[in-house]
Amino acid sequence: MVRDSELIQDFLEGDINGFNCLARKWQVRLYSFAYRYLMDEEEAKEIVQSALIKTYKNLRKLKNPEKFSSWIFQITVNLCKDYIKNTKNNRLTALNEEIIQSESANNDHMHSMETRANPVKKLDQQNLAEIIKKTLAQLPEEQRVVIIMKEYEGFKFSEIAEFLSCPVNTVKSRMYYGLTQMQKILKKYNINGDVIFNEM
Amino acid sequence: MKCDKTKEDVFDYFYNEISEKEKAEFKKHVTKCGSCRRALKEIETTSRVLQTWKVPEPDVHFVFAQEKVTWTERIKGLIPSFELLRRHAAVTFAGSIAAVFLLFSIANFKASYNADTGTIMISTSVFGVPEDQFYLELVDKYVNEQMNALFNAFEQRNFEMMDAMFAENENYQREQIYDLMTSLDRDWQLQRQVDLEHVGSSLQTIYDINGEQLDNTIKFFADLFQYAGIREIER
Repeated sequence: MVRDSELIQDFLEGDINGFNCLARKWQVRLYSFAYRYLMDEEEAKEIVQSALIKTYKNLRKLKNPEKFSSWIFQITVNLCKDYIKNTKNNRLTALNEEIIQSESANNDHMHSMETRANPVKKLDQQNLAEIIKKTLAQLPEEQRVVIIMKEYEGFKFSEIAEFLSCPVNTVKSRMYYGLTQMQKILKKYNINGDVIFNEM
Repeated sequence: MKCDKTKEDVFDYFYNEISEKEKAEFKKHVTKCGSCRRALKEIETTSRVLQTWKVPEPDVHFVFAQEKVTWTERIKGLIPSFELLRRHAAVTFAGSIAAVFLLFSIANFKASYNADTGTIMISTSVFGVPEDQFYLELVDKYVNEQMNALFNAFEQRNFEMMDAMFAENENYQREQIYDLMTSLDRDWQLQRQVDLEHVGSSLQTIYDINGEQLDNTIKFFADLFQYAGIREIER
């Protein structure tokens, strides 16, 4: 695997393929982050495209190429935040509608689950992903982003604090409240971690 | 027993953000402390559930950079202190003025030695070109033009000569090949005729020999029949 700093050096020396390799290397990771954060495929694609364009335009200003990974993530996080801020009202109503719909659907689902002997075994990967998605969507945005960055992107708490420009302990307590909230919601769905673990 | 660990400590342990020593200590603590054990278990469970959500890869590829980097951008990239230069615009401006001044001076540097008096004269002039130098340049220009014209004419003639030579050579080669082909064809015709004659005479010989043998056979059968006929008559 070629290191990011080498690719950046290639790009700075005028080799456009350096940038293309860099973009190809990062696009999937940025996309999955944006998708989990915004919960929308098209929006996530837009964000990744904008992030890559921004990276291309500003890569020469990056002083320390070793910090490229946090730099490009910072760009993506900022774009996502801006996006959420600009479309806050629309998004909120859309999300609320979705939650109301999903709750009525969940009630049906739960009723049908209770009648079965082993409900969790009936859950396939797709359904579980949907449930996780809905559960995360119900969390406040600040808690959601911390959980996504920690669980899926594997950043340290200190790094997350830097991205969100807030103290480390704030990040940790957001994580704590987010996870507690998630546990409550997941319990409503009768989802038990052990069963899932054994299933997989 | 009251536990002094906080949720932050549990997080640090679970996400492996503490030293090995602290980790060992916490592990020991968990065996005794029920609340920490429960908290750890809950985090573990939720984390496991979260990990099952996989995002499919995007179905489109993003548009990457295709345009060429302009030469100004490249120069900017090559000079690490470009930003610095831009920030200290006044210093840069003064520096460039000084550089231009120096360049003019060097371009008009004049040194002469007077053998009679034994003095050396060195002078630099900032502006203006000496008159004789102006005429010298004119003459240089004229000579250059003439030389170029001569050279071009020579080149043209050379090219034509080479062209003619190639054409002649090609014609000659074509004739040679034609001659060779015709002589080969003639040889082949002759050879074919000789071969045919051979074949003809051989066939004649075979025919002669076979005819003779056939005659003998017929004669033999005729004798045989005659003999048989005689026997028949005798019976």
